[in-house]
Amino acid sequence: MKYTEEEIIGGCIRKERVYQKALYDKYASKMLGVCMRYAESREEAEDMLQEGFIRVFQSIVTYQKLGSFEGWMRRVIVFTAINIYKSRLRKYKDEPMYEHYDDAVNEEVIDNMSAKEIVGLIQLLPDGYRIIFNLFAIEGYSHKEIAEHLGIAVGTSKSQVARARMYIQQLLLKHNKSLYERLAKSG
Amino acid sequence: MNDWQNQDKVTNNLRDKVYNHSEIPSLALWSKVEARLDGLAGTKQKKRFPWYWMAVITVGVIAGLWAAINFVDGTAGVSYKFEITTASPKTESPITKLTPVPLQKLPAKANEQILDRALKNIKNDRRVKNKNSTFSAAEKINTPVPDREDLMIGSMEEIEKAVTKLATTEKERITTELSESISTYGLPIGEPILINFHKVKFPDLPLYGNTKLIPLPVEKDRWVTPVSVFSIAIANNISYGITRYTTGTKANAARLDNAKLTNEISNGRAAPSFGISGGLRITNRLMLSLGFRRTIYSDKYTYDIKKAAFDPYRGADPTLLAFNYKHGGDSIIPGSTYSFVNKFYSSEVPVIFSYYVPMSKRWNVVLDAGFSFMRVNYASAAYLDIDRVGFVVVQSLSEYPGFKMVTNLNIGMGLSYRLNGKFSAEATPYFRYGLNSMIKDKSFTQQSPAFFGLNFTLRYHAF
Repeated sequence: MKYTEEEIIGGCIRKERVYQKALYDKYASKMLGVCMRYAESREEAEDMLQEGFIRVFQSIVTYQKLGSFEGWMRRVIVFTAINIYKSRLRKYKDEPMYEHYDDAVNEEVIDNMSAKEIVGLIQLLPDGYRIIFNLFAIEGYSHKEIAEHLGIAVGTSKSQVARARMYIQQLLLKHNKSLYERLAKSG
Repeated sequence: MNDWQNQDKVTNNLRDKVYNHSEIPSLALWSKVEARLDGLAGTKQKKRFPWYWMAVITVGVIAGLWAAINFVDGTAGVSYKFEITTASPKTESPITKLTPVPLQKLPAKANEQILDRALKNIKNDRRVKNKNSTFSAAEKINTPVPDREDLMIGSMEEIEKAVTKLATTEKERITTELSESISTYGLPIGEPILINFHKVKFPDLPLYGNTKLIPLPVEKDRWVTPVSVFSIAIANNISYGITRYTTGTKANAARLDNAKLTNEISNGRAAPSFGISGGLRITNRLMLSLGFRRTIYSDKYTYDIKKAAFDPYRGADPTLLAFNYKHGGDSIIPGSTYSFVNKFYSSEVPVIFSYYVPMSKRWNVVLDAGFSFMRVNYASAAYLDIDRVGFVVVQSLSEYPGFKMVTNLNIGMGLSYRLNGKFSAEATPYFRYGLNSMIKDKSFTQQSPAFFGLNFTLRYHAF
């Protein structure tokens, strides 16, 4: 049975299970895609998603209808994911910094990669890089917002993003290399 | 334009590819979510024993006692003072009688229980039953306190807009009335997210106090209760004693040891003290406090044995004077300078009612009235050889004059200033009047102490 978004939200506020299920069915896949980027593994992503949906159901009454419901929900899920990592984020470790960055090569590589592969690459980032890179580069939060929410300095957020980009570039280069090797073998 | 919109092409490509990426969750996941939801619905919030507060109170009491014993040195002092404090909106509206639900940083799980409690309160209120129409805000009351993350939800533009407006037009209100609840959240004063939440969620209601689950309408009376439900106070006090002699004469009293002792305690002598108390709010403005204070009265006489054939201060031979305080083999060494030190320790339990009359958002006039029960429970004397060649003897004199409990009447009036949502400071001049003599034995001159003093109090508003 199809429900409108308004009906679903109303039902969830009333805590009616059928509407909660409808909400889950509608958004679970998309939100799992979000969680995958913040988690290290699929199992972890599913745990995040589970926690995120609980939070959504509990706080849906606070939804202001100021923006899209999906955007609101994504935000809840993202912050749930972040909370799971917050303790880890306090222990930032400086990963090796790669200076070289070749946009042309990377663009080509990205074009040849599937979304799933890119998510896989993002999952390889260290915790701190991954969270901040996701928030900044994918979700579109400003450094100021990230800094405020994570309780870090704006400069830290910036440097983490820069380093994450370098890190990704290295991963892309590796991926590119294996891609060429694969192509060479097949050709 | 956001920062990320300026980022490089590669990152933008990457973003475009993964932003809407979706994956199908495992089939078992919904069952897990459902089980959690069932668990939440079936779980009742257990009342926890307030270990935290018990620990705080215990530490406070121990610290107070320790300080009373160790900090007050030879110059004397009395410590007491029991006050009250807090802040919750006072209102004449029907909602006043509802049980306020304390604003806390609650786990998300607790929201349902809190809502149930809040709604139950509303339903049970007689006036609500009769006059539902007055509760147009009932739906709004049915809103759980959000977690910080939830407060972030919504347009940042909206938040900034609301904050800018508030910061310019209602700054004063934000920093005072909201300070308590904000501190309860662990958020800094003026936290835009919280303010915005209230502006959006309760546009018709004021940003108010520490019971935000049930936002109370602002009453005509602008005052806010200055006392929390429970508070802990530490107080330093200095008092000046005036002894009243109920039998005999002052001259007679001066020649009696017990009179001397009590005279030193209570007459013409300023003594500091230290105390700690717990305050319980009885009504919005009235608090009952109970505590303990310790005072050490001390005096020291110094004289040079070379110059005086007898103690010039006491009119007695210093050798005789020291008689009670020296060991058998000890002797007074001619040519030395000696001092004689008396110390008296009193313990007091004040039970005080404090009434707060708000003068402004931060200032209150405090009216204190109550009783305190005081007893000199230990006295010591030391005969000290300043040249360090003689002897030092300390002897308890507690039983010698036979002290007994004095019931004091306490009245005071002062000012209280709220420092922030958790602390307030008070300065209260007071008068303490002994209703009976401190001397047990009726054959001695009976003396009743009275004191003028000043209390300095720091109060912590626990909850």
